[in-house]
Amino acid sequence: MFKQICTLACILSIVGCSTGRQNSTSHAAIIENYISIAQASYEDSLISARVLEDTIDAFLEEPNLTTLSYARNAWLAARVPYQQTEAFRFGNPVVDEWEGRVNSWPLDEGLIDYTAAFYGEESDNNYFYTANIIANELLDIGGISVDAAQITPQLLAETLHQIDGVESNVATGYHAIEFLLWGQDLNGTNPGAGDRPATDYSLSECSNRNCDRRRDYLKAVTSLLVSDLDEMVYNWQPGGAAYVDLMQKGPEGGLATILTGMGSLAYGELAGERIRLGLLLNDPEEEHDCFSDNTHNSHYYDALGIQNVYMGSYERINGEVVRGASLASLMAQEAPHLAAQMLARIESTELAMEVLLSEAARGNTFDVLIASNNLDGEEVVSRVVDALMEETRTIEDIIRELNLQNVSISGSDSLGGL
Amino acid sequence: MLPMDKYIAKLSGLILLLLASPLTYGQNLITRDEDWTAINIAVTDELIIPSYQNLESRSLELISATENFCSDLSALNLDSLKNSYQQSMLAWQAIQHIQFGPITYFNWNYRMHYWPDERGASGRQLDALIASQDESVLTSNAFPRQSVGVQGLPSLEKLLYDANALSDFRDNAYLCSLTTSISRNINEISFGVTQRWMDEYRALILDPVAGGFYENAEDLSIDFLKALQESIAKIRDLKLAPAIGESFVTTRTRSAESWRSESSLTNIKNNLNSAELLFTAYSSAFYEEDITAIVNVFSDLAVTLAALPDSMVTALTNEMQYAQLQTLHAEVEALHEALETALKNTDLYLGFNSLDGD
Repeated sequence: MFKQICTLACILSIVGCSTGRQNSTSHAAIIENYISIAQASYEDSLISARVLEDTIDAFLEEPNLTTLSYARNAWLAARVPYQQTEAFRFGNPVVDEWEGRVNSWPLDEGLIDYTAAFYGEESDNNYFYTANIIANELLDIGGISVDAAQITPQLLAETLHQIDGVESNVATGYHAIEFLLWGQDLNGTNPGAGDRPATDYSLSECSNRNCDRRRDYLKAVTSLLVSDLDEMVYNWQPGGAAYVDLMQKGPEGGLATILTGMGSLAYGELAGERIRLGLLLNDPEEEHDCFSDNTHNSHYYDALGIQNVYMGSYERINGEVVRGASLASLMAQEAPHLAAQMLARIESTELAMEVLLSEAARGNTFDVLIASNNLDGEEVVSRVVDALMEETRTIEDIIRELNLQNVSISGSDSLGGL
Repeated sequence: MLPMDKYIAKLSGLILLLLASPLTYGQNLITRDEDWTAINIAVTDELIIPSYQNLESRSLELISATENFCSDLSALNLDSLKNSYQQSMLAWQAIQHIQFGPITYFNWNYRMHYWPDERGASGRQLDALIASQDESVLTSNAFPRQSVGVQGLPSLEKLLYDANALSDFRDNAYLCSLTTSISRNINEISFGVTQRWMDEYRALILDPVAGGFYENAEDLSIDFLKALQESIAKIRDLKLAPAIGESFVTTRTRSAESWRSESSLTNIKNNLNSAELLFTAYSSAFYEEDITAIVNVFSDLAVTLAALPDSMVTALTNEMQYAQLQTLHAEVEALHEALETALKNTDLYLGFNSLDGD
């Protein structure tokens, strides 16, 4: 895993360069560069998903520990560019409405496959909590009948995903694939990730039954991820839905969109739903990449995505850099004190996230850190929440400074107001 | 503590005093710090502290009822304990909207009432705790460090309103130990919050700048107004919409708050009553037309709620009452919009809150 987040010195040099080249950073130029970064980020996500699909094909061709580890590594690599796109989600309705298909979380994995006893048998809110599509060709639950004899992308996307209107009925996307590659993490808040045997996909030595249907599911859900990402790449091209929608908002509306995306990801989604809630519940089921224990990286690259859109710079998976006019440059011209404060906030978040990475490298992954009696872990995680909250407060100040209207930042019931 | 009618009369006098000559939209009607402080301290002394004191008293009774039940596991004592739980819950619902200040210390708000629990963490964790039979996590030192999902009122409701509660308690002594820990925990939180409001936070209300967190008294008032606005959004988005669903055939009774004890609508009545009192206290900050609009929606809500039963479970299974629930939801939405309009017409900036966006 290579390190991508700039140091403060690096950030200052980018801002300095930008302001030095041009006297005035226009809103239109910032939006144009924002779109360029979106295009490149989604293209990288698609490229990585295609690699994932190839490795999964190879794994299904010959299911063993080695091919499974290749597939798992491809999934981890695919998360790197995708998580950075999350800063484009909020504020862009085309992305937000689509996002549930590719990164829905948390999921009640009993909808998909077998689960361990700790998972339980029922949920107040979800009649499909243990539906187990892989084991059942016909579902008849709560008055809803589903013919699941053939597991196809259409069945997953159009019938099973969020069935019965329950968001945690996640049948598609990265986390469904993650569950199929790793299986449930049975270690609770102790170190260790899911450890699904490769033989779960073997036709000759099938473990945990229904390997043929499990293979069909993995194949279908991966194919769906690729086609969904392909759709989003198109959406950001000139004439695409996200592109047109953003351009129609005008210059100030475009800046409001950028800041909505940054603030909502930092505050409600990341600090709240994905981090603080886990800390409140001490529940490993509440970590974002709970099967693979990759949560620290997912959070890190989310933070990097926020930085990308603010700094107007994105390093692609092939090392090329997309760079242009940025909010950082604009703020350096319009309100230098606020620009400096935002850079400091970004650096604080980066430092807090780096501690998450270093703890994970020592075996203290996110689920270990949120254990009920892990005071050191609580402090590490709380610092991330605090840094993201501070960053959002400064985003709020920037919105006020630029006098932008109709900005609505997504919150979380696990956080108080800012 | 003032009786409520005297409290309203006192506030009305304050409002009349503050209503100056008509101003154009976009200006703050209250401009002097001391005027904001006068309202803030009246709200603190007449609404906030008495409500927390009431919660503390109810939670003391809850401990007694728990002890009675656990010393004699009879149906009568279980009913008495359920009643005590209900009283504590109602007391909490009356002050639930205050999500700033001491209630946020030590995660007290989530430890008192973790809801909604969209993924069923509370039930899963309670089951695991009961299966563990681990007494060491139930001590007064250890219990506050357990998941918020097992510590507060919703957990108590799960334990007491299970269809087999009485036989389960008789078969499993751990359930009494757990219930005792939860009841004591609720009381300790109530006591802690009350004390902190009476001591440090009341002093902060009187001198907000001294605390270093607020720039002026208006900032502090904004916290109260945010609490008001957010409480209405929560009723609309969390307490009503998920249970009502899209139509009569897609209702989801278990998504309602307090569905086990069938007191979902009683909770909402208490929430709206508290919201109305808080709005009345701050109404001098709003323009007259906006006040009239908001007061009218509160009146509509009172009429709609009076026609509904306490139990949302009952209302959701009756087509006519379901229609009234939809009306209730529409009126809560109208209240939220009216408040939003009223706030926009002033120069008060609430900033982001915990429920904006999706």
